[in-house]
Amino acid sequence: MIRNPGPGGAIPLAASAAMLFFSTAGEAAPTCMASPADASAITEAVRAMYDAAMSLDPVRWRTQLTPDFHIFDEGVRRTGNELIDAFRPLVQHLRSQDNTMTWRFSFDDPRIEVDCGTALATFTTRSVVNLPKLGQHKDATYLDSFWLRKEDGRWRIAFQQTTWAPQEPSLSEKK
Amino acid sequence: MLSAVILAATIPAAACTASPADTKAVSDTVHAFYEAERTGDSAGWSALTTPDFHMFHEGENLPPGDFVKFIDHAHAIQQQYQAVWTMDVTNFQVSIGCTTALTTLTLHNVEDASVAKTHPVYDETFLESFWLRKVPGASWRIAFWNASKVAKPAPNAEDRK
Repeated sequence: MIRNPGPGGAIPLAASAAMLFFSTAGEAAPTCMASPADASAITEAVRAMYDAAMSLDPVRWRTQLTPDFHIFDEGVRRTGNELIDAFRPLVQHLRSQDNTMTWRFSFDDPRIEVDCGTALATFTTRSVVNLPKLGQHKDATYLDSFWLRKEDGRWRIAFQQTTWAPQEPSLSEKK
Repeated sequence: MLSAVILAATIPAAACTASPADTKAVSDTVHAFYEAERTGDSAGWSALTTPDFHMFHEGENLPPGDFVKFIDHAHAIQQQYQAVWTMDVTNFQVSIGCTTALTTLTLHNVEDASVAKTHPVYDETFLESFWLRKVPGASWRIAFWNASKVAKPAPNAEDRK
């Protein structure tokens, strides 16, 4: 789900750090190897999607998604357009409270599996929304999984499933 | 601190055409997985998953060992309350890559102890996705599972009476 996308260029994406290749013993023989460039491109695609979501620009957002994109958003099935419609009021509400708000994301525990032209990526996503004028920040943690397809040389998100992590309060207010 | 993991997928690009047999095999694997869960067959469930299987279950990241315990516990409760456990899968969609496949579906899960009158009926719906890998012999194993519970609408006045 797209609750707290970050502003362009402000996301501390650490997912492209170390990469470990290991064989899948007993499975098919390797000929279509994933590259470190693929892993970086996939995490960048996820970050770009969040950036685009924050912009509330449907055209920009759409460029990060495949035409058949759908999402399981906290137990609700939505198309891309339905997601944008659901997300817009939240962003507009927060901006109305503080137009200097910033949004930061980190993607922890990344696991990325590339299969030629498709990929699975899973993250523990942590977000922090800062509302300086109100002296508040809101943080949240949720588990994200993405299925991506490589189209015209770019990774695009075809499916996302997201669920709040129950061990932390949702959008807890901290002054 | 953070370690990205790439699992190198492994099949000739020329072999990336999904067949109806693959689609059926993926479906069979997922349905067998549910049946193993429903019957408390931990060994059968494990045989359907990859060694590095992991899952997100209602917002928790569970390692495989914990999920075996989860299945065993759920089955024990079912037995204790003499519940009739049914699992109905709908909206089943399959997208197949080279050696991997994504499935998305809706699971209606009912544990009905009303006959034995030992426990209220557990009736929940989940949106779920599975990521599977193909193994030699054209079988498929589940490498990742993500399950999110569908929120129930707030009870109306009639329900609260």
